[in-house]
Amino acid sequence: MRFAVRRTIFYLITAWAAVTINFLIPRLMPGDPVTALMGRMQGRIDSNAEESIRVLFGLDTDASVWQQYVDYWGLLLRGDLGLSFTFFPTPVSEIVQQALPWTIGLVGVATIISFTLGTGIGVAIGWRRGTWADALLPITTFFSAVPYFWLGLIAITVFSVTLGWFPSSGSYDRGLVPTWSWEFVGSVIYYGFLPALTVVLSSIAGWILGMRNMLVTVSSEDYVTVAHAKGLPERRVMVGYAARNAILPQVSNFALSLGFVVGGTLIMEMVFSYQGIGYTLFQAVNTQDYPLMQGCFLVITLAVLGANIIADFVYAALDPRARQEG
Amino acid sequence: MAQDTTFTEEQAAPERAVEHDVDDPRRAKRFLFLRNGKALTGLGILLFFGILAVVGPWIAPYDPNQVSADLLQPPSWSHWLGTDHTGRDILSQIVVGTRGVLVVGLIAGVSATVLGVIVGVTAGFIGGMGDETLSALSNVFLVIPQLPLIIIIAGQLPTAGGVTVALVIGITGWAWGARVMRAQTLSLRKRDFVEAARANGERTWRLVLAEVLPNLTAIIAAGFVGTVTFAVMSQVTLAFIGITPVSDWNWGTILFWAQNNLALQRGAWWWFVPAGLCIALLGMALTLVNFGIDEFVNPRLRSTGMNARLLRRRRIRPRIGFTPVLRTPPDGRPDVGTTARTTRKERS
Amino acid sequence: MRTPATDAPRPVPAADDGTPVLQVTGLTKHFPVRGRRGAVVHAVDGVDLTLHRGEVLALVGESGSGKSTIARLLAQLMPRTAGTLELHGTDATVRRRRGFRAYVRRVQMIFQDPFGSLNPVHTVRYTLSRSVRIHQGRGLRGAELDAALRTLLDRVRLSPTERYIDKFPHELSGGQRQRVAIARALAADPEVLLADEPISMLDVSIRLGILNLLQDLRDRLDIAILYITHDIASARYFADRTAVMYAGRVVETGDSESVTQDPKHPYTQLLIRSAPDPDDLEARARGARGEAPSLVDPPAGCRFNPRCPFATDLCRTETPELIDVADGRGVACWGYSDRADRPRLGDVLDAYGRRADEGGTP
Repeated sequence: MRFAVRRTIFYLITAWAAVTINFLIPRLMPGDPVTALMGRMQGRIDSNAEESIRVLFGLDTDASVWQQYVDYWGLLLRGDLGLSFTFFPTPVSEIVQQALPWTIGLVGVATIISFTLGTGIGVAIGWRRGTWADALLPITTFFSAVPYFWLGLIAITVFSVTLGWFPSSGSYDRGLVPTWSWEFVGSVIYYGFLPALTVVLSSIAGWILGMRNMLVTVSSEDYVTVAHAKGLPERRVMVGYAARNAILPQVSNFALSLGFVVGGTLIMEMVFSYQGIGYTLFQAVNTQDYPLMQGCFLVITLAVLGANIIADFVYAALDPRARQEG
Repeated sequence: MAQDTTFTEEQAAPERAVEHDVDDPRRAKRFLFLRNGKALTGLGILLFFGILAVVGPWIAPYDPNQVSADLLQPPSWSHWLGTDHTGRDILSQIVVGTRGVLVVGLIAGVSATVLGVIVGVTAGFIGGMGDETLSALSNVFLVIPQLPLIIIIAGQLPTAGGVTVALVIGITGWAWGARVMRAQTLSLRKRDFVEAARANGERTWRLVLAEVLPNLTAIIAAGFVGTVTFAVMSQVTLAFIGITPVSDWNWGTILFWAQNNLALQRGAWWWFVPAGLCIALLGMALTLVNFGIDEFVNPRLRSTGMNARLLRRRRIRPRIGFTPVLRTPPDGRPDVGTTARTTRKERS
Repeated sequence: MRTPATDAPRPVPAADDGTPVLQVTGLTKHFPVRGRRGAVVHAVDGVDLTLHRGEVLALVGESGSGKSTIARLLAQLMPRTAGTLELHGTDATVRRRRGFRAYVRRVQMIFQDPFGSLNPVHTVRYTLSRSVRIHQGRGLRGAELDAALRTLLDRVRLSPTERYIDKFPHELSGGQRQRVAIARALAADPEVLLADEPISMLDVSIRLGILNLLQDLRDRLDIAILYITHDIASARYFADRTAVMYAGRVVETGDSESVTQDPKHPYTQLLIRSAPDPDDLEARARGARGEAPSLVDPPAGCRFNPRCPFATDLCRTETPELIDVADGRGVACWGYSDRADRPRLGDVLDAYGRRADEGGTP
C-alpha cells in the first residue's frame, strides 16, 4: 500500500513537472516566434482562440507569471491545447486525439513485442554463455548502435523499394474506409508491419543485452547453485530461479528507459509517414506549428507516464518485496 | 576449491584480476583495461574519427557545398561515395561532418556528466530531504521522454546551432548518470575510509572530491560514454528531421537531404548508407568502450564469454553458477570435464 | 587469543597530576527507530569513563553492547544525547568545524576494519601526507614532509619505509594496513587513541604484533588508549584497566588483572567462563542462556536481569549504580549492595547448569 502511495505521488509530481516544463519553455526562449506567426495569422483567428494561444505561449505580458500559470492550467484542464496553425482551425487536442491511437498501436505493440522477445533471447544467451549464442552479441551491439530512423531508411530501401513487399509510407490503404472490417484491419497490419519490424529490430538489442548481463550476474548467486545442487531440471533452474530474479531489474529498467525508447521509435513514424503522434510532431516542427508541438510533447509525456504506471504494477506483481513496503 | 587445480593461463589472469578490481584504479586496472579487446577496438575507432574530426576539412577532396554537374552519381573514382542531387560530393560531406558530430557529442557528454555527478554525488552524500528532492528530480527527468523534449526546445530556438543543441542535450540528459552516481555514493559514504577521513578532520568538500569521487571513476567514465552515445544519436536525429540548420554539415544533415530528395525511391543507396554506417560505427565504438568499462566494474561479466572459444576447444559445456576449471595433468593434456565452483567469497 | 599466563602485569605509570586526559560522565546515545515514532534504541546509557595519560582502558562487551558507539561518541563523529565530555578537565564539546579539527588533533581514532578504513585509490603516501598536512601544518612539503612520513612509518615499524610508502592498500597485508591506519592517527600526535576493535579483523598470528605496537606507543609517547574489544583475554594482556559493558551500560570496572581473574558481576563471570576451555568442554555446554535484550525496550532495572540466575524483584525494578567492592573496583549489581532485599549470588555456571539439568529456578 505504501508502495502504491509513494508511486502515485511520484507520478503526480512528474505529470506536474511535464506540464510546468511545457509552460516554461516558450516563455524562456529568446525571441518570440509565436508573435510573428500570430501576426501572419491576423484576422483569420477568432478572438477566443487567439486568447487561448496567448495564454499557452505567454504573450500576455501584462499578466503576472503566476496568473499566466493559473490560466494555463485552466486551459489544460478543459482540454484546450489551442489551435493548430498548420491544420487551421482544427484544435490541437482533436489532432492529437486522432493520432494517439495509431502511436499506441504501433509503438506500444512493437515495444511490448521487442521487450518480451528481447528478454527471452537474453535469457537464452545468458544461460548458454560461452557457446555459439555469444555470437549474437556483436550483432545486437551493432543494432543498438544504429540510429532508429536509419534502420527505417534501410528497411524501406530493401523491402519496399527494391523488393516491393511492403508499402513505404502511410498507415492503411487510402482507398479503404476506416471501419472495423477485416479488410481494413488487414490493411492496417500490412502497412504497420514494416515500421513495427524496424522498431523491434532496433530496440530489441538493449533488452537482450540487459537481460543477458542480469542473468549472468544473478546466476552466480548461491540460490541458483543450490537449485542446481538439488538436482532440479536445468530448465526449471533457468526459468524459475535465475530468470525469475533477473527479470526484476529488467522491468524497472523498462519503466525507466521507456521515455528513451518511445522517443526513438517516434522518429520511426516520421520515416514511414505513419500518422501517429511522432509524425504529427514532425509536421509541427517543420511548419513551426508551436501549439501542435507543445500539445504533442504533453501527450507523449503523459502516455509514457501511463506506460510507466503499468510497468510499476507489473513490477509489484513480480516482486513481493515491493508489494509489502516501499 | 581443490588444492591441485591449476588454472590455465587464460583463466588464471582474469581470476586474479578480480581481486584487485575494485581496489586499484591505477596500475593493474589501466593495464587490464587496455588488454580488453573490446575496449581497445572501440578506442581505436574513436581515435580514427577523432583524427578525422580534426583534419577533416583539409583532407576532404571537395568542398561539401560545391555544386557540380555530376548529379546523383553512384560511386566512381572521382567521387568515391558518389554525389547528391545537386552534384555535391558525399564523401566530403561525411568527412567534414565528422567534426560537428564529435564536438556536439563531446560537449553534451561533458555537460551532462558534470551535471549528473554534481546532482548524484550531492544527493548520495547529503542524504535526507535533499537526497529525496534531488532523486525525485532526476527520476522526473528520466520519465519525461528526452527526444521529444529536445525537439520542442530546439524547435523553438531561433537558431539551434551545434553548441546550443549540445547544451540542450546535456541539460536534458543528465538524469541517468545522476541516478547511478547517487546509488554508488550512497554505498561509498558508509564505508569506513570516508568515516576515517572525517574522523581525521578532513573537510566535507575534500571528503567528496578526494575520497569518494576517485572511487567513482569507472562509473563516471561509463556514464560519460553512454551520454556521448545518446548525444550523438540525438543530434543526428535532430539534424535528420531538420530542426538544426541544414547548412551545418553532420551525418544527420546528409540523411536529411537524402530523405527529402527521395534518395530511397531513386535507389541512391550511396547517399544514405555510408553516413548511417559511420553513425553505427561510432555508436558501436562507444558501446564497446562501455562494455570494456562494464566488464571491469562487474567482474562476473568479464569471465564469461572471454573463454568461449577455449572452452569449446576443450569440449566443456559451461553451466551457470559453475566456473569451469581446467586441470592440466603432467602430460599437458587438459583433463576435460572437471568443474569446481568458484564463488565470490572464495575469490576474495 | 589466549594470553600467556606468565605475562606479569606491568607497572602502571604514575599519572602526572591525576587529572584524566579524557573524561565522560553520563554518556548517553539514543538512536531514533525508523518507522516507529518516538521509539529509540538505547545504544549507550549513562556511561562514565576516564582515560589517564599513558594508560590503556579496555572496554569489553559482546557485539551490540554499545562499544563502538562509545568510540564514535568520544571521537565526536556523532552528537551525543546526554552527558559531558571533558578534555583535561574542560568541556570539549565541538560545535564548529574548526573546533572539531582542534579536537581530533588530540583525540584520534583507529577503525576496526583495516581493509575498509584506508581508501583503496590512495597510496600510503597520500593517506599519511593528508594527515600530516592537516595536523602539522599545510605548508609541509618536499623533504620535510618526506621525513615526517618516514618517522611515522618507522614509529609503527613499517621499515624499510620506502618499501611501503608508495604502496596501495590492497598491496599490504591486514596487519600492515592496520599499522598504516595507526600511523595516520599518530600524525596528529594525539593524547588519546580510540582503538575500536583494532585486532578483531586481523589474523590471529599478527594480533599480538599490533597490540605490542600499541603498548609500545603508550609507553614511549605516553598516550591514553581506549581499547575496545569483545575479547576479554586480550584486555587482560594489554589493558591496565577494564570496563565491562552490557546492553549499553557499564556493569563492572577495575584493573584488568582482578576483573578477569576475579569477576564480580554475574555477566562478567559468564563472559569469562564462556571462553572455550579445552580442559573443560562441559563448561561450555553449561554456557550462557538467552540473548542480549532488545535495546528499543530495554528491561527495567538491571539490564542483565532476564538472563541472570540470581535476579530478584529488586533487580527487575531498580537500576543498580556502580558499587565499590574493592580498591578501584566497581560493580553494578545489587548483590554487592547492603540492602536487605539484595539477591544472593552464587556461581553462575553452576546455577546455569542446574537450570539446564533440572529445569528449576534457583
